[in-house]
Amino acid sequence: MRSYRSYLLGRLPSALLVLLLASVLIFAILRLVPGDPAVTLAGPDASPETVAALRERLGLDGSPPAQYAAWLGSLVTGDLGPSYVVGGEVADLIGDGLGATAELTLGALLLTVLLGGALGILGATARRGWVRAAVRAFTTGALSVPPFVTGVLLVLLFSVTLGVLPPGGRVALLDAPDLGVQYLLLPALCLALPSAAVLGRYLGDGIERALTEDHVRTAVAAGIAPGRLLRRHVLPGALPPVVTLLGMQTGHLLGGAVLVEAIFAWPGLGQLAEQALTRRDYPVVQDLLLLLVAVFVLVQLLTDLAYAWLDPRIRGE
Amino acid sequence: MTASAGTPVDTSASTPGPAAASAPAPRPAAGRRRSPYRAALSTPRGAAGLALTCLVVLAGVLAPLLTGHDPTGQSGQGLLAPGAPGHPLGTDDLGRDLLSRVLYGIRADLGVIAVAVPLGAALGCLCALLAAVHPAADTAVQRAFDLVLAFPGLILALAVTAVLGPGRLPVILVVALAEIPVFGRQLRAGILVQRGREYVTAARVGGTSPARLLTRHVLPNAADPLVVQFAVSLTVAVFLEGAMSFLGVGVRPPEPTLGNVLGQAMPYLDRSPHLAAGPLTAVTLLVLGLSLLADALNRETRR
Amino acid sequence: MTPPPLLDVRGLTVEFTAPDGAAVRAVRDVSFTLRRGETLAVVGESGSGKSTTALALTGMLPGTGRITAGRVLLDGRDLAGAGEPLLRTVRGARIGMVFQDPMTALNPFLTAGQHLTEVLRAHGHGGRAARTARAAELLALVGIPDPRRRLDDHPHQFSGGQRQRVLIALALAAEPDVLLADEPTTALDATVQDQILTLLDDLNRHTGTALVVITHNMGVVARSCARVLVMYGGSVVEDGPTAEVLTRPAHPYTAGLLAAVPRLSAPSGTRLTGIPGAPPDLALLGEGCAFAARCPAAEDSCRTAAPPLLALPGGVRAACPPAKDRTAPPWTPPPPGPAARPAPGPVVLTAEDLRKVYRRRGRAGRKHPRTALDGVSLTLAAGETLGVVGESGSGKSTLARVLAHAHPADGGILRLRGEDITRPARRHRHTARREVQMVFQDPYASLNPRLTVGEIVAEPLIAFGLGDRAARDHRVTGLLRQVGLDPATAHRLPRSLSGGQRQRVGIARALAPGPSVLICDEPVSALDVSVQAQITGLLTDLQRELGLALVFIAHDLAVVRQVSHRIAVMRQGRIVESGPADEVCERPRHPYTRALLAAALSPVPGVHPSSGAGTGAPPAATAPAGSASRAVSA
Repeated sequence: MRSYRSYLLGRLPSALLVLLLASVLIFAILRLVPGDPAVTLAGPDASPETVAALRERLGLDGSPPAQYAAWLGSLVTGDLGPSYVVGGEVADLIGDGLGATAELTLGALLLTVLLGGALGILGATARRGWVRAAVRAFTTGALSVPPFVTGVLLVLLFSVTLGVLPPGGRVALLDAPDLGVQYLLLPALCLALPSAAVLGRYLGDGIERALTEDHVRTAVAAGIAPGRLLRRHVLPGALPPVVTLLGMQTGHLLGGAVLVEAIFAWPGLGQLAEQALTRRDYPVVQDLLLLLVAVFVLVQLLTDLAYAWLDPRIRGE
Repeated sequence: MTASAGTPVDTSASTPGPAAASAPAPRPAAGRRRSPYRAALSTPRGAAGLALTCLVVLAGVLAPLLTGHDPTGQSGQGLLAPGAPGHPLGTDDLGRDLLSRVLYGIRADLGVIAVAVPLGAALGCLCALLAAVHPAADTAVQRAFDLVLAFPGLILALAVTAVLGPGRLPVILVVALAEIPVFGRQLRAGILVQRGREYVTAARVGGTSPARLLTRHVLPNAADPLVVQFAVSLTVAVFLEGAMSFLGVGVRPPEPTLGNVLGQAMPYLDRSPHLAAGPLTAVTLLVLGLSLLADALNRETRR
Repeated sequence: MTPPPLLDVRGLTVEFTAPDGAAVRAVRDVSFTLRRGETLAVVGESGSGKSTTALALTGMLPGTGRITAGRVLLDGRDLAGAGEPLLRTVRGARIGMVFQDPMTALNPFLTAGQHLTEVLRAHGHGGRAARTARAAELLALVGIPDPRRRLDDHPHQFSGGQRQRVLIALALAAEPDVLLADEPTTALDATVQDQILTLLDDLNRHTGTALVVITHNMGVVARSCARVLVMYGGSVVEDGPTAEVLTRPAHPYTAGLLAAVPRLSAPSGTRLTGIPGAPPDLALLGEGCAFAARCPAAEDSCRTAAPPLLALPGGVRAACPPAKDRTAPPWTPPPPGPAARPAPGPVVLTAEDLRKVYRRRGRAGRKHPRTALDGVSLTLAAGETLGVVGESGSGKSTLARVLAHAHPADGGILRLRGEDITRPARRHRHTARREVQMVFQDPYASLNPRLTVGEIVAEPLIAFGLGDRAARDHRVTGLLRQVGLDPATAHRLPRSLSGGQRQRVGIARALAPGPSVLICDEPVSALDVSVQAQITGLLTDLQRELGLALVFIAHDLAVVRQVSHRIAVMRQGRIVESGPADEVCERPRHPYTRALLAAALSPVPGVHPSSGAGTGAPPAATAPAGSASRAVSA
């Protein structure tokens, strides 16, 4: 266990460094925006006093390092201040959006794993040639149609034509699970399809490669049956790289959520970000970007740890 | 200078390569491996991919010759069905000719991805080369890649457009930025693998200078995955452009791109699905063609 | 009347489909029988079809492979056309298999215990607890100490030899009647090979399991099997009792192969005998005898029709019709004796107290320093060959790389004709490099796959700025001729060449800048035995013609003795013994040298070398590290 702990400790600093650099970068680029946000906010007819007051409230009056320090301080205390454009406390806005986006992303992740896993195993081990060909065609198709088109097609099919699922909106899963699932299904599926296709292909290739390995030949020569062979001898080895891929895909899911939320009117962080961006609410944008980056960095860290945990050679005694 | 008595001339080849015809010496190409890229293009998968890609690219390049309509010109006849006189694909809600919008859309897309992906690839490779030179540079480059990768896809797009606003330049910038670490990491890994190979040690012992070692031995052998990645990245770029247009942070209307033509068709999907059919076909064919190409290249170069 | 054979293979033929769609016959009309408790060796070089035959027996042919003719009768039941369910009851339970590379043949994600219980479970052995108990018994059976505790260890926690033992335990788990071992010791050091062969021998004797050993090594055949089957180009060319076949080979190939095996008893300077040419390409093989192209006694009829196996006296069968009437042996190796070698000249290269420590970063960021060279000193004279022997991890490859300036030394001094070249300035590095060149072990990995042979050989000429384009082309042609290659080879890519040809290219490249020292790192260990002699002969000839000083690194003592003037024995980064080649092999002083000599195999049946040279061969571990018995400087 010692080596695993030191592995964990070895990973933390670089993750924290990336997070720190990202915060500096976000802070810096938002200061590069042409024009004074306070002037933009106050409107064209505002008096200089109003603008100055607004600037002070926005925390734009200090030197850049002081502003940065103030921002980091607000992140640590969790008191992110009010949003002047969108309205309400920034922390509340983000909190609400985070719940919705987490629900969507986790739902999509679950579908990715289920669908991708099935596609991968089926595509690599199906006895019949046409099954493999069908899996291959499906993954190629899922990767060739842009997600925003898939989304609209799904709405067209399930909501407009069949009328079985709602075309947009959200009911929190925790409030009403049965209704929530109905609202969640389409957006999650739309978000998950490309990731599932990537995962399915990757897993399929991994299984095919593993099947040619020497130790699999040893197991076959010892008389192990195919199902058992797949479960006990092939999948454990094919899993760690898949976990790494899943980590990367979680990033894609987070990014894709912005798009999918727009299609399905899902009130998540993506919607909030789009709103804040178009209305130039920079404090919200700043906090949001850092939050998304932090989540992604955390996911990467977890994947690395999972990878190490799954591989006994790294896990050590 | 002849072989000594005890060492008979060893002329029998035991494993001729695919193209190593047993042709005698005069043919200089005997034993030369056929380029894996050409081999990939001659497989059914590769040929289909190439044909599809060429079809879409040609349609875009030849747009001015294929249609007489201005893609932004409004005719007053909105939502004409396909097959209407002068408008083979019909018109959109503002009465603009759909065929010309799709063709010019392809053209605009090509303009974005043909600049952005090579730019990203070149910068990424440059970073990888820099990393190959010195360990300190390597660490810096690695952290920079980590940093860019920490902004996945559309979140990067949001961050960039937060500063630059919507437009063509941000799209190019986002695509290029997103591709830098992808190519950089791939080439860096390739260089590390090839450097560990014995033929590189052999060349070093043979007096080859570090610069020549890199250009003559390491890079040519590390390049194959990059070619595959290039095809994959083109498809990613098409999607990214589309998504950005869809979110309203891409190329500004009325200029058509595949993304915004498609985006504008979405509200009419239940009543006039033909609005989406044209751009959707173009996007799908282009991406399918590129995916097939990438797949074929991947299979051939990995042999 | 004898009982029916356990395994009866009749006319087995296996085909593969080449990428261009052509059928390639990898195994042609192979027949043999195996009785209970018998030991049979299948010996052959690359492409002989020996491994394919083994895989075909239990229906495990890879890729496009398929049995196109013949029968595999196990206790009278045909396995050749059997379905997967039947084959699964045979695999492991009736026929157990052990594969070559113990590093990759075990699943890194499963513990030794899980490996074993999986097999026991597949064949319906007992409950969970009973299976675990049986797994521990099996580990104990194959000689793994503290088996109960080791059940929970993963493969990476075992040494190479122990992994091979676990693999054997795995093959024996379901108590099969036949143990099929495909090159079971090829990846192992000599001392470990000896232990594994002893284990197989014991198992055969105590459990009565019939043993089939597939190998390229005549020494392994002589050591472990009563009967031998010699294969070439997919066909059986000779079979019979080992004692008979190895002493009176009837087929020219068997005779040639035996003559090519270097023998530890042959004194320094003996020239190895090879078979001209290279093993055949199965795709190009016609109907006639596969060996006809290389056979000195080939007749016209040999090239047109496949020769049948004919019974000869002594229970031997040989697929060589001319052999029936032959009285003299089909192959007369040149009389052993010192080849003409000039006496060594003045000292060219000296190394004093070389040190090299590798700092490997583990994944967890921990550093594991590993001392690869721990104070190595040696001298090398012009026209002299210094043999360096040692097992894996002894530091001999690191020594080669440090001497050739492929890796810098961490300490010590390297002198070329008295001048310090340890850390040469940029200007001098070129001179030092030109003088010391290197030939690599793996002729596949050491040639850039994208360059033609001509470009590869010209590369050092360009690097050292020797001559213009025309002069370089001329020199390349000369070099290719010098190493025995057709100059037209210059336009070909390495992958279209045979292993022997590639190694010649590697030698031509090393000779290109006109070096005075050639460092050869295991130059023949990746080559077939019949080709090895060609390469060692070439190196000796080049040495005589060019006055080269050679460092010849190998793990095979017999080759090293014949090639070298002096031998240095390395262990754990140190030279533990050195001296004149014959002296070191005849009268070893250091216990480790004695252990190495004792473990070396000889292709002479019935003579186990450990009863000769060494005395009760202490295993490697008992030789104290670095306890140099005499001069530690070569």
